[in-house]
Amino acid sequence: MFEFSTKAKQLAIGLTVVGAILWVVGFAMNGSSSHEADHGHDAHATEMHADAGHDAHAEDHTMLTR
Amino acid sequence: MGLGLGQLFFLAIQYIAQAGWSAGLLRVMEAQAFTIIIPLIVIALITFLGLGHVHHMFHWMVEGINIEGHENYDEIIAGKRGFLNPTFFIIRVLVYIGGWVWAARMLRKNSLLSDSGDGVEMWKRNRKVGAIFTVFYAVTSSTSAWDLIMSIDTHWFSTLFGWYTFAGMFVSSFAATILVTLYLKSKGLLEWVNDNHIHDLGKFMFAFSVFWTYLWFSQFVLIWYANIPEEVTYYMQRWDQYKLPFFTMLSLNFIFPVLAILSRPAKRVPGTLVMAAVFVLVGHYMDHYVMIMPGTVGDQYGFGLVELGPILFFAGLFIYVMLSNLAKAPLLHKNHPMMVESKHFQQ
Repeated sequence: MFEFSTKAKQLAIGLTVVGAILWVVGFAMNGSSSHEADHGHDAHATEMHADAGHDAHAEDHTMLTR
Repeated sequence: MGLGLGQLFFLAIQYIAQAGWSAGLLRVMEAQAFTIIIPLIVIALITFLGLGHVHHMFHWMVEGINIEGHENYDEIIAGKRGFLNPTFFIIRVLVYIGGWVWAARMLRKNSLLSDSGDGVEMWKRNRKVGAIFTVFYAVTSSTSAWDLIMSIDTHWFSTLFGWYTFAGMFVSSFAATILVTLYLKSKGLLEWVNDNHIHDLGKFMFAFSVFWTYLWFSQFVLIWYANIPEEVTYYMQRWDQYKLPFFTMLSLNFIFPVLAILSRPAKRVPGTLVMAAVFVLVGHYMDHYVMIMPGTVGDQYGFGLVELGPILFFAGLFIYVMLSNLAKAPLLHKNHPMMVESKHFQQ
């Protein structure tokens, strides 16, 4: 039968706590840059305008010419 | 989530396929299946925080996106409102949570009952649960991928996406199972698990790495070749702005497994399998990074505390839930009708 040792528990809890702290600190530090990223509209490369299918600019969007 | 869900599916398959070789590993799979609890809580949080407009991960949740004339109106997203709307989304998320947790609990419960009761009867019950769950999972693995990942890039779609994410999920779950199994063997446990069992787990990890690559290539080359603007912009952003993570992901998920664990001897050496498993897990993390980051932060990506923190957080929780579930029941699945076959497994 496997015994979940105290050392293993401490490792797991330690990783979780350290991870949570880094996450919160990182979010607090990076929060402003995620707002700048504007993931509402323009940052979505796939979020083209509604007329993308009919737009003459569509031919610019090609990987074959890259 | 894939680590637990992939093994839950594999566990169900063992019963419906009447597999004998894996009987000695079922307790490891059951414990791993229970680790889905953690990400399901997170998914529920993300769902409700998104619908409450606390975060903006999903573009389709923006207010007014479906209202013609509104400043946020988007005709393409409005066209998808039959599927991407808050009510249906909540219902689907609750169905995923309910169905997956039900299957994990039932498979575990019947397995534990077989230790003190009729092993054959409990095996038959698990076969039924496995059959029901497999059909349920076939649908929900795709719909959950569309909901939680594909809808981040709301304008884009790929009919292969559900299978592609399943393949990544499945191979990652094998990588985790290999690591846990070898850890337990290093502690002197699982003495009935021999090199042949380890070899088979390695085979699954290799085979599904190749399968993942096949699906990745199928999705990529068709979109690249057709060059339809509606579809190709997805890969354009990843090609232009995410080149390093994009190619790193491909190397770790395909080139490395093929080079490292193609040969038979390599799959019977624990050290090689551990290395391959770690690389596969890193590679599939990168795969999800490349799937999610472009649609959420655009070109403002990087790898810092916000990336490292969650990795450690979820790794710690996974280890805790996995090992505590392993400790709750004997590792030997007593009275399993095929346990003798498993103990004598040779190839």
